[in-house]
Order: sequence, then structure tokens, then C-alpha cells
Amino acid sequence: MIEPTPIPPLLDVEGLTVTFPAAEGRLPVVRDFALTMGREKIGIVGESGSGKSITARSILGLVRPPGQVTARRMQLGGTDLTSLTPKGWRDIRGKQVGMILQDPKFSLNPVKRIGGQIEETLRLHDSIGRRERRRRALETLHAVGIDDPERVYRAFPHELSGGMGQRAMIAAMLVSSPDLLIADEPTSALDVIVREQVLRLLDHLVSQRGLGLILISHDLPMVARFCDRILVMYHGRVVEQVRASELHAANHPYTRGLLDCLPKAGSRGCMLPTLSRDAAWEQA
Amino acid sequence: MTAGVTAMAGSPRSNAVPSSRREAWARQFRQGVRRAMRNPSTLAGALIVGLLVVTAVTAPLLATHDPMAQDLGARLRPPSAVHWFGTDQLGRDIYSRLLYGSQPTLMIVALVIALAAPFGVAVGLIAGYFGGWAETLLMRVTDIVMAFPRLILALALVAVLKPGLINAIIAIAVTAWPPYARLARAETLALRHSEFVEAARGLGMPSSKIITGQILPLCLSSVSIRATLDMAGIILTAAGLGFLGLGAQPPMAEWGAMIAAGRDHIFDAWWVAAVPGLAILAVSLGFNLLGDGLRDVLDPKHHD
Repeated sequence: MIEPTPIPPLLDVEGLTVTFPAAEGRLPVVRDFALTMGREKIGIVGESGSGKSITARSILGLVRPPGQVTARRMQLGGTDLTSLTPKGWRDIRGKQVGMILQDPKFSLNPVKRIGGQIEETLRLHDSIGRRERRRRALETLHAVGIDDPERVYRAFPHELSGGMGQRAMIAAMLVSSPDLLIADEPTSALDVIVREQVLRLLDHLVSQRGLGLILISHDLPMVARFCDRILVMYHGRVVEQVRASELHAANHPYTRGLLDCLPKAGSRGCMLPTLSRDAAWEQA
Repeated sequence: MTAGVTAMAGSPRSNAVPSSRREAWARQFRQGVRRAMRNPSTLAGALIVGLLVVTAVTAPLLATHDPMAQDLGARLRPPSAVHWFGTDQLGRDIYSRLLYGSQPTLMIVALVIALAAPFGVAVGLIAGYFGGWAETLLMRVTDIVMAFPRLILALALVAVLKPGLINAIIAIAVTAWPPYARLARAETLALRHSEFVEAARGLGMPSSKIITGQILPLCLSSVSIRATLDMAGIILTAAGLGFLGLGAQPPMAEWGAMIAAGRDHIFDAWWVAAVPGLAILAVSLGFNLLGDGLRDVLDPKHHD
């Protein structure tokens, strides 16, 4: 019997370190990050400045100089990311990995129509005709839950609400069907109700199309509800990795601290505990 | 009561929801025009510039005499029913020459902007987007060109290239681009780290496309305001070169050259120099007023 060749993991990162120059030498912002993921939903949580966004950006090769990215291994679906040329990066971005940014108000170009911005991805990566591009753009807009794709297609970003804008942004990322979607706090700029809708949509699209998702957030319970696995980052380091279903059983003091800080119905009227940091966490 | 209802139904212009995109666009355009025209100085500027364009196009129809035809028997005649603005030292009709003189003026303005603005904007976009040594190099060159007095540099260039209308245009364009480079660089610096540029990069868009497709469209409104305001300066520089005999060559009718010709007779025949001088004044003023008005319409930060 022939042993089936193992399918390479979608994303395989090991020893990812990002440094920025500082007065006292190079300051590591991400230290020794490791992640092996298939087509699953990974959540990365941590407070501001813990290196979540920079980690996501380094997977797309978007860390700007003077930032420096090094990794022992960084592979995406069999492609080695550590030795890519600028042209190689451009082929990966949008086509294999899509990135959704925080605020649709700023992540869509204010002077270009939504349709054009969605088609841009197709224009860059696939050589297909104008009519086909338009059809795919409208189809994707419909898929992200926009009832009136024709109107949104012709609209400018300022004519859309925040939730609609974020849907359009997701459509722009999905239209060329990437394998991996990185969502960097995709809902922070939205209000609570819309946030829920967008997340459910994202969840639905990812499961339906079988994509990998990296969801970056500082909202621990939200991530726990939507993701399969959670990585908790502190000071550029992954301090704990848990299955979302076992989050309540997390045992790292930092994760526990984050969980305890959340207000609950039962803690009403009491002071919330604050994080007492431990220098040992950085070494962990 | 009925009257009140009718009045409300009869005034849907300002509040009714536009029924189509085209209508909305047209309404916005009308609103912009109305806002610009409400300001009397903008209106005056637009009228002067409009008149200049009409004059340049219809000069052969409006002229009462051949602008080149000399009549030495009728030299330096004061304004009269036959020669509305008098005649110059060769007996040529100043009114007709003034009309024909609008053609080189308009041509210089249009060509200088068409050469200088795209070049300057390209320099600024590249410097602002890439930063690093490219920015240092390009912006220092810009600073150097900017440090020269404009007319002096244009003079030197024309002297090297040999006097003529086309060379004057080239010389003015060479001195006119640095402000556009600075403007485009400033806009690019503000935009290059914006999220939509980041998102475009995340989609795998090459730098060339980000510059032309994402950043350039956002620079255009400030560049066009700058260009309109610049036109007055270009007209003055062109007239200055013409006055010094380095621009349009005789017998072509050009306002700067006409003033130069009138200089010798300024006390006994004031109209020879005064008429083209007033034309230059009026046209420069017109472009300045129009530029100010355009800024009010195009720049959202200036709205009241």
C-alpha cells in the first residue's frame, strides 16, 4: 500500500522574529512566533502592542523597513516565504492571502467606486475579461450579504455605512478566492450589532469556502466563540495556546488575568481586578 | 392652506432625493457652480478667463484690422472710432493686435501647465512614496531649482536656447515644476501610510499601480487649484520675457512685446503700452480670482 503524501499545512511558521532598531540595539517586537495551521480558524489575542498585527503583516511581507523579519521556517501552502522576491510577494498577496483591515472608512480608497476596488484584485491576479470581472464582483458582493449589489457596486465608500463598507472590504478580499484570510481587528470600528453580523458572515464564508482564518482581536470572549484555537500573545511572545472550547481552563496567569478583567453579571458593583504583570512571562 | 401645500410640493429642488446617480451628480455640479458663482470675485474671474478664451478663438472675427498691417501714415494715432485703442509706432491697430495677442498668452499658459504640472507631480509622487535616497535626491534638486529666481532662470535658458515663443514656454516650464513636486510630495506623505494604500499593497498591487491608481487621484484637486493660481504668474513671466525681446518674436502680436514697443513713446502715446499692460493685469487678476474660487469649491476643508 502506498503511503499517501501528507498534505502540507496551509501555513507553517517557526521561529518568526521581527525586530525594530532602537537606541539600545534591535528591539524584538515579535519573538520566536510559531504557528502551524490548516484550514481552521485561529484567533490571536493580546493587548495593544503585543505584536499581533506585526505578526500578521510579516506573513504578508508587509513589515516596512526599518523593521526586520527573520524566521527559521515560513511556508504558505508549500511556498517558502523567507526567500520571496517583491514580485513573488505580490503574487501571494490577494491571491493566496487576503487581509481585512480595521476600519473600512480608511481601508477603501475614498475617490474610487466600490466595484472598481473589488475588481482591482482580479485585474491584478487573473487575466479575465471585463464582463466576467464585473460578474464575479457582483456575485461576491451578494455573497457577503449585500442585498443590492448593483447599487453598492457603483457606490463610493462614503455612501456606505460602516458595516456595508466592511462587507465590501471582505468582498474585495474574497473575490480572488484566497486560501488564507487574515482579519486584523475587523470589527473594532463597528458598533456592537453590526459587529456580530460581520463576524457571523466571516464565520459563514470561511466555513463554507474552507478557508483558513487568522482573526486578530483583543476581545477574548468574541474570539473564543468564533475560532477553533486561540494564541495569546504578550510582549511579542505567544504565552499560551489553547483550544477555544477549553479557554475557561486556560492556566497561564496572563490569560487568566485577561479573563478575570472582564466584567460579568455576577461581579456587578465590585471592583474589577487589574493585571499584575510578572517579568517571568516574557521569558516563558 | 392649499397654497402652502402647493408651495411645498413645488420646491423639490433642494431637498428631494435625487432619483438617479446622474441626477445627483448633476445636482452636485450645479451646487458647486452656484457656490462658486455666489462669490462675486470668482464670478468676475471666471468671466475674465472665459472672455480670454473666447477672444483667442474668435480673434479673426472680432478684429477690425489686420494685426500685422503697417500704415506708417497713421503712426501713434490716439484711440478713435477707426482705431479703438489707437495705433502703435508702425501704424498697426492696437485693438486687433490685443485680440491676437491673447492667442500666444493662452498657448503659453496651457503648454507650460501641461508640461510642468505632470512632471512636478510625478517627481513629488515618486519622492513621497519611496522616500529614502530617491526622496533626498529629487527633493534637493527641487529645492535647487526653486532657489533660483524664476524670471532670471527663464532668461538664462532662453538666452541659451535662442529667443522664441516655444523656447520661452520650455524655459518657463523648467522653472515652474518645483511647486508641484512639493505639493504632490506633501500629499503623498500623508497618504502613503493610509490604510487603503496598505490594503492595496495587501492585495498584491505593485508600487506603480498604487501611485497612479490610489494616490494620484487624491492629489488632483489640490494640483488643479495650484495650477489655476499659477497661471497668473506664468502670464507675468511670459510677458516679462516678451518685454525683454526673448519671447514671441516680431511681428507676432504678444502683450509683453507690445509693451516693450510702447516704452519709447510712453509720454506722448501712452495707449501703446497701457492697453496691453491693462490686458495683462486683467487676465492675471482673472486667473487669481478663479483659482481662489476653485479652492473654495474643490477643497472640502474650506467650506463654511
